[in-house]
Amino acid sequence: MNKTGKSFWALLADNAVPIVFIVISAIAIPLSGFSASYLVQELLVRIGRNSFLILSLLIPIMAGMGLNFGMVLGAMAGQIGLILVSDWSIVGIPGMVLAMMVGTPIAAVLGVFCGNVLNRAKGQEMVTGYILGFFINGVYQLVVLYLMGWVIPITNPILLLSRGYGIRNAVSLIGVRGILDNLIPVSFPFMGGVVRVPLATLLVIAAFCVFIVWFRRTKLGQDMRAIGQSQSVSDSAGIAVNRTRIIAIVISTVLACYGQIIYLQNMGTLNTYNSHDQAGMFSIAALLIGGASVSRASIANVFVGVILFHLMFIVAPMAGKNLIGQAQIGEYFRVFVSYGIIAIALVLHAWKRNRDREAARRSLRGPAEGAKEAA
Amino acid sequence: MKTFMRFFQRTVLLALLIALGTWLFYIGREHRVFLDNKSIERDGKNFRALEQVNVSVNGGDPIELLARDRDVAVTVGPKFSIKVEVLDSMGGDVARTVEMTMEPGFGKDMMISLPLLNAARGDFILPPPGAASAPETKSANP
Amino acid sequence: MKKFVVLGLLVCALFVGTAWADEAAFHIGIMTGTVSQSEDDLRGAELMIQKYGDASKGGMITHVTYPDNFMSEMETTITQIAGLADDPKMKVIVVNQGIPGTTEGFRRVREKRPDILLFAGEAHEDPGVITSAADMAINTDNISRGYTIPLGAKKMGADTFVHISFPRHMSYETLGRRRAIMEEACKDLGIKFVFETAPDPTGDVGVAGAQQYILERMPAWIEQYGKNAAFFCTNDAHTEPLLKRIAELGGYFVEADLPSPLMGYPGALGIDLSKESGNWPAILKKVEQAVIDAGGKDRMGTWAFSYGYTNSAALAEFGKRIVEGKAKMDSLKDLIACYNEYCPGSKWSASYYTDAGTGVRNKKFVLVRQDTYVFGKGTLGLTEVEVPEKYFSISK
Repeated sequence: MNKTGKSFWALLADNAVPIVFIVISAIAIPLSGFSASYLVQELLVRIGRNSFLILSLLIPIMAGMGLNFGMVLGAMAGQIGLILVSDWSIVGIPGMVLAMMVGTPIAAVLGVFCGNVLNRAKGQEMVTGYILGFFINGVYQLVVLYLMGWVIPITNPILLLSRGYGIRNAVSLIGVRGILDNLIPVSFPFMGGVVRVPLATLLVIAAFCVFIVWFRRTKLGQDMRAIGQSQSVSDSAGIAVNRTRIIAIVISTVLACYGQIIYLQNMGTLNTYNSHDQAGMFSIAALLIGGASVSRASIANVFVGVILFHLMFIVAPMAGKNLIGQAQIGEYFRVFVSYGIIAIALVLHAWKRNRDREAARRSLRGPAEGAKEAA
Repeated sequence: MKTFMRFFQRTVLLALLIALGTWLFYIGREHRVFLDNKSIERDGKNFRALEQVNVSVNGGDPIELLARDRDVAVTVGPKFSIKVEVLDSMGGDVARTVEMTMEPGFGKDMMISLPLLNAARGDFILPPPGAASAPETKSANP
Repeated sequence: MKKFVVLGLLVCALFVGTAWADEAAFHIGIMTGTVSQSEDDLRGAELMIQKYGDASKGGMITHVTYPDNFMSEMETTITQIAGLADDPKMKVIVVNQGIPGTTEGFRRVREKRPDILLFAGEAHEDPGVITSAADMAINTDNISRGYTIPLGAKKMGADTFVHISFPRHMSYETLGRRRAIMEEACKDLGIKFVFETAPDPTGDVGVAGAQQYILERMPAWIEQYGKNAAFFCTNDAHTEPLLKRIAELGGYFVEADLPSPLMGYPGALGIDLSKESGNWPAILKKVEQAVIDAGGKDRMGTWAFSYGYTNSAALAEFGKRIVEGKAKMDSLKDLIACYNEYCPGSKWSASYYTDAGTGVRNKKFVLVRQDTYVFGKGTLGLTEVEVPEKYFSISK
């Protein structure tokens, strides 16, 4: 046991959150009564739909900026792109790519703004990013509810409110629906049902993972990791700390923009004023559940997280309903469990960090600054 | 010189992106082609609606239009082919076939007057019907 | 946002022959909001469970709910709907109300199981959008009511019609259109039409401020327009104070925007309905007694049966009858029979929706309305009335 320096219990405590989720899912799956092929299909769909958004969180964490709640800004940029593309009636892959192209400059500008604000709030990036999300939500609503149709020309009457300006609150994305998922149709029979695999989406996600791995090895990536370790040391080493932090946020925001477009092409409908609400919350929750912490996250955390978090989403309502007999209890059960687990994840992380700091202090190898530490 | 090179490279990149965007716009645009089989007047002459005409757009299933019908076909891309078979009477034989390719290009919707097309007139393309106002289905009183 | 739940439990007990079968022949899935969102819809589903049994115990009905925060959690809504299709015995799915996300959920069900019947009650999405995926969608017939409500007012004895609303509601296509129709109808019926503005409860004064405004202005309006004025408001929050004042001071009230015996009356007249929960005839009777006691006899009306409750039941019943071969999908008569089944003594009427712009009739989008029941008097017979054609082409 002394070889690894970790006992079984320590291992358990380190990965407490994923383990709790696995246990709850193990109980809930048989209770829910879903067939295996349905679960596998739903999970594949959700992995394809959500992974890109969660992956966009990795770079700010690498740069020591915590969980980027400001990714919702990128989501809004993506939605503006999709609204414009819907107005122009561009469909299919060209429509999706054009939405991404239109959303990119908007996301970049928002990312620069967000990065600048976060630079003035070093140490409190997460809360600042969260509140910034609300602020930009207001700006987004101003643009979409008043400027569109009036200053920004929108000609398609199906999108506009009957007063002549402002976008309706639900936009059908039938033109780009499933366009990436169904690009390379692959399906296989599985335990009594047929499972369809969104191969093209998964390939895009794989490419993104490769990009992240490569990025870590570039100079910029190394700079970010250095900043993540210690800002003062990086500054003395000649790295432009503020500028690099802004770049990290810009990259994350632009990638969130693409992620939201991928998410929406799978959903098929855009809730103009609400679709982006939970983009940040759910992605961060999934990442935490995958075992990531505020200061360290890997690609494995992303995929473990998305599988466990969404498995809970799929089975909890039915499991709760079958357990208690009332349909609405299932919904409350899902909300309670999902958000409760996020709270537990954050508490466990704080507890673990304190424990590690204690242990490091005991062995006289504590860090010079108490603030940041590789957990 | 160095900054000029950078500026030049960036301008070229920007120009390429705009070109890409424009090309995507061109090939991805969806058009609604309204097929109108209603009597219409031109130059004082009245072109009567055809009894039955089968229209096939881009080789798809033929759309049957009887007199005074209006239907719509949806196409994607800058051009589409259209095959019009005019029958001599309802359910009868094909009296005339017209095949052509049309190029809406950057445009959006269009309407084709089938009686005018049948009379081999050049001005058979009409502006699309007034935008259908899709009434908003309200949710219950918030 | 308060949602009205339409009662729609129509369950035909046709189980005589196969009474001894432990397992139901097929399943019907019903998706409603929770009690915090829209209680009536849910009670309708519960009635069906009572009548036909819960699928987990061998019965027919599987009941699931959509999240309270459905605008932000569309993923869950879609998953819930698609999850219903995982059951090989599922043959009918009813979603009441048809919140955003219903169309996508239906599309996914269609991909997997094209044999399942899909119905949406009180659809929130555009008619064109929801009918592209659903077999049928229902909405209240606000177009016809633009004519029948002033007509009802006239029948009750009113000579003035006061329409109370505010800009946000008038920006909604259906409500704005209905107001224009009401104005025209009043002209033709010989009643004076007046438009009064009241504060928006979602605005800065809030619900309390909006209700206070109505309470304070009503005496002045009665003074100005006389005791023979009929009042109509488009917002739920406005209804309660309006009813209170009408009972006290005079004036007529035909029906609320989304009528139900529970809309406004319990709060306005202080009625305790905890014992009668779910029993609509009993609820109606108790409310009627309270109205008569308060002096509102023959002057105040509603729909005898809640719209949300009836929607849940009627659509499930309709689906069941179609699967069993006892009804046809495109028969309005069969659909209305299901509605009338759950509302003994009250009549419904239905028509197809016509797109205002293109004039195309959509046979998958049905507009329904119920006869108005005036407390102390009975029904007004408004569903028998044929709405003159010209009102259908009036727009804002």
